Amino acid sequence: MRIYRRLARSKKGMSTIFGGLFFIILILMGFNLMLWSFIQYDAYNNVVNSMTQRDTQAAGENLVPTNPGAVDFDIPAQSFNITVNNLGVAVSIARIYIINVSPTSSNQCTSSPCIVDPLPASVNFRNGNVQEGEINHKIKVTGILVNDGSGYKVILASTRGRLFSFYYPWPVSAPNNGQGVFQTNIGPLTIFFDFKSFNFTQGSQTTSQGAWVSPTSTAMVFWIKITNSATDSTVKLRVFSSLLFQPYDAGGLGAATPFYIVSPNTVNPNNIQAYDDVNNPYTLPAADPNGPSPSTIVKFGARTEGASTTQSFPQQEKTWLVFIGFYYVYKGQFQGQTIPFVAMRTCAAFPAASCY
Amino acid sequence: MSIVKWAMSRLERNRRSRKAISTIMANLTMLIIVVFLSSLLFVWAVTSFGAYQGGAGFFFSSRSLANQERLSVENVFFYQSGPSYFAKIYVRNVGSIPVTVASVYVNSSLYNIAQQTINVTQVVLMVGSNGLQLTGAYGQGSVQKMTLATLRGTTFITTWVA
Repeated sequence: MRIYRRLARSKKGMSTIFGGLFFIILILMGFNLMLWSFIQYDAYNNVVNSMTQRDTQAAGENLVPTNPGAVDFDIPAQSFNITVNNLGVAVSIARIYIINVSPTSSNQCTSSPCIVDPLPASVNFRNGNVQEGEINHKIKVTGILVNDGSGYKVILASTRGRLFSFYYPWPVSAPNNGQGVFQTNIGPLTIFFDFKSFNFTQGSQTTSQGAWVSPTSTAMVFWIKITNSATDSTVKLRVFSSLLFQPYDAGGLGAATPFYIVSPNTVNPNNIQAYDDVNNPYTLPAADPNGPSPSTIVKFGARTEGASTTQSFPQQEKTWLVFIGFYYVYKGQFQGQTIPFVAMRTCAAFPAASCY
Repeated sequence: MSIVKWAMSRLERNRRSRKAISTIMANLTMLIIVVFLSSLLFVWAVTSFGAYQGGAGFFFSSRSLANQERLSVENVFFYQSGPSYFAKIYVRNVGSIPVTVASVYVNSSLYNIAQQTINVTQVVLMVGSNGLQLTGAYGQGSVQKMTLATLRGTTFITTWVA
């Protein structure tokens, strides 16, 4: 009642009331705008936080391929395994790219990257989800092989957008511990030799075997793994390169047995092909500043230079000193070097145990 | 009879009233001015707040969408075919929303391409099966900077060795 009387006797005019009402409306509108801004900013922050979390998880991926990179080659099934250690958060592989960086025995993956997708693609991989902390996880790749002597770069792309790569064959690290690898420094290059890959094939073999003891009177193709450690140029081998086997009991000129370089497509003496250093050369890629380039398997098996005739050792058993005569193009210059390589034996009863 | 009496008394009261016409007019004028100014203020406030809401709303929504864009350039393969040079660019959308790539820059040179939309988790080979035709030769072993720009203005920069 008192309030009513006060209002009735109030001297405030309509203008004051209208003004007050408008003022209140304006205040409410401002408050509403502020509230709307908060809501919008909160929604934006939610997105930013969500994406930041996603980026953090991507940065937490740490997949480490393990030496030798690719294992368990199954030629009939055209499959192999990639072994990785996961030192980060769980990773899911979305795609694998394989690039031939040093075409040697095959031209696959040279004109375009070979793409390996999850099943059911024709060239596929499985087991692409790697748990956190998992060691020696094997990702099975089917439909392609990479053990043909070429140097491959393999890139694993994760679903979060990270890339993990390795080279196959696994790059040879600088030798310092006597684990079957040594290096020779002659001329401008350092070429690494892997003792474990001084191999040969005979007949129609597709898998090479150790050449420290070899058969007599048998056509053979030698496989030697070499690496270019020069960072400023590739090395292209010329047709004049050869392995020269000099017996201990050499009686003079003509006693040595040369095995000349043959085509990268050669696998064994039954499919020997002449080396064409113009159209299908061995090209050793330049080394990365962080280490040597992927190794390349170079094959020797021709009786004469640039020919496809097979070569074999004499029937008499001997012990041989092996030299490599390398002729190559380095930085556009034609050069040559002779490398004293290894000593090996020939044995008529190969592969009998008595030969060893 | 009573109505005539009421009218007579009313006339007599008004005749004795001390309020002048000017006072009433002043009040009315004041009321009109207040209503008019308040209306102006109201219209201005509504317009300003609306403009602010429109601008801020667009900013937040566009930035929010752009922030959800994530592209991964998984591989760039440089090759020569006859006298021409190409780059095959494989791009995967690892973000939360579809992305439309509007242009590609190679070493800061713009390549106008047909816009290509990449859905979430999808991977595409940019610019057809041959890849992007380069305007000149790339140096073997040289570093090439690839920049992808989306319609929302996000850029993704990667470097590759040719």
